[in-house]
Amino acid sequence: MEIAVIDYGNGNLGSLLAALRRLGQRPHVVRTAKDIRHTDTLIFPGVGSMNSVLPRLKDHGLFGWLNEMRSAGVPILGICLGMQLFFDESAEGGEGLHWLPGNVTQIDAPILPHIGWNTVDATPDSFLWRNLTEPYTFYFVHTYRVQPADPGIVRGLTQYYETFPAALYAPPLYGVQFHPELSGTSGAQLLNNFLEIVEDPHGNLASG
Amino acid sequence: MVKPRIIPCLDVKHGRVVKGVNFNDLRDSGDPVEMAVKYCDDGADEIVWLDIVATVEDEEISLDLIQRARDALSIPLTVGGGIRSVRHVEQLLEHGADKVSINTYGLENPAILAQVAQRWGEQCLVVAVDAKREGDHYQVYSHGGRTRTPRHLDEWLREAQDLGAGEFLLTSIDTDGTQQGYDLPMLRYARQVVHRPVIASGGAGNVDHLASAIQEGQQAVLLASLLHEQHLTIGQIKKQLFEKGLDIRWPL
Repeated sequence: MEIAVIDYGNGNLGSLLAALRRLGQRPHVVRTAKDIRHTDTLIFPGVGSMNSVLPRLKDHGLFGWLNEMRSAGVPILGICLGMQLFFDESAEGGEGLHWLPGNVTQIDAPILPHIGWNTVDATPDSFLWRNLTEPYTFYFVHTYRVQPADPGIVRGLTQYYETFPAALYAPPLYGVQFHPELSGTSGAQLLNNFLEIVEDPHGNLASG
Repeated sequence: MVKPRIIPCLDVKHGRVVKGVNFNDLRDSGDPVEMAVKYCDDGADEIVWLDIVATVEDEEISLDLIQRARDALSIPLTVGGGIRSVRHVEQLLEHGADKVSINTYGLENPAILAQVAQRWGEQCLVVAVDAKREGDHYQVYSHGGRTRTPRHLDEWLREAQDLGAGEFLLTSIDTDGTQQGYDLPMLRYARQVVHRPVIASGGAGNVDHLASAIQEGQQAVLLASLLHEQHLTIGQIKKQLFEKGLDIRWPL
């Protein structure tokens, strides 16, 4: 399977690439237009600040390609900042891809970032939870949260002083606020579930 | 709500673990990668890897080990010890560290904190602070607690937070090595001064010490001698905390 991991900054991609390799994959990193080649899926990793991402994607000739991939229905997984990028704009400063209506705002909490393992309350809808044991527990590290205009896309909620979306699905976009690549066996299972859907989009793997 | 993090600390020198080589079910290995993986499998919520890098050769050995640890580890890895340049930070991150921990060099050259935070994000920067009670305040020490700095703890925590510290790793020189419990008054004080997560370090000698700190609202605790000298595994420690009713990540 061809997996493209988008590097939109001084991305610290080591953990994500290692997690994908442990699943038997050989992801390739796309930093500029010259790195583009056929891919079955895109993963937007979750580090850094939203501030300079969009100008950088445009400068590096990736913006048009990303939009084409989305229009073509290529499954896209956004992790943390990667999911936040799907939306319009961030209170952190900076614009998103405008793929989903909604904004990114700071969590209302006395201690930030929200760092550590936390549980996700899943909605009954299908997502990437197959073969995971409840309570779903993943590693988070973030200061900002998404506020989708359409609450119907939310597939899981997490609480840290306030409640915010931790997972969402708006085909072909999958988003998680937590870091599966840092979330032990649960995270590996979730990534594997995503890759199985990429491989077999018409199968029944999305259920559960 | 976020679960308190139980974080083992590996002290690494010349590519070997210098403390903590006793496991019930692991040969006396001293291989930091093997130990990090064992901690991860046992239920560690993160790993802190403190490297004593004395020579260029040490640095190369350690980068290679960090890469091997990253390839095997599915939990966050913080690497610190002897960081003296943005280039060194870059190399550690390129070899798979998720965060870096900076202590002495941040005191000598606070600009590095802002440089790291701006380039890789605040979540990437752990500022390690060693402090000691002096009269009516806490004083910051550098060089592994050997050198007294002119800074008071509250001033330095605030300054480092403003520069971009995403987290603090706070060691009490007074309680470190005593196994009499964490310095709860210092931790309480630090939590009032800053609005970043604080990792408690220094003094834990039994599981009750961890429980007291967590019950007080401590978000993260570092483990050293409890693992190395009490011959407990992370799993045994977490099981005991869980049985005390604490909302930790357990069972895995």
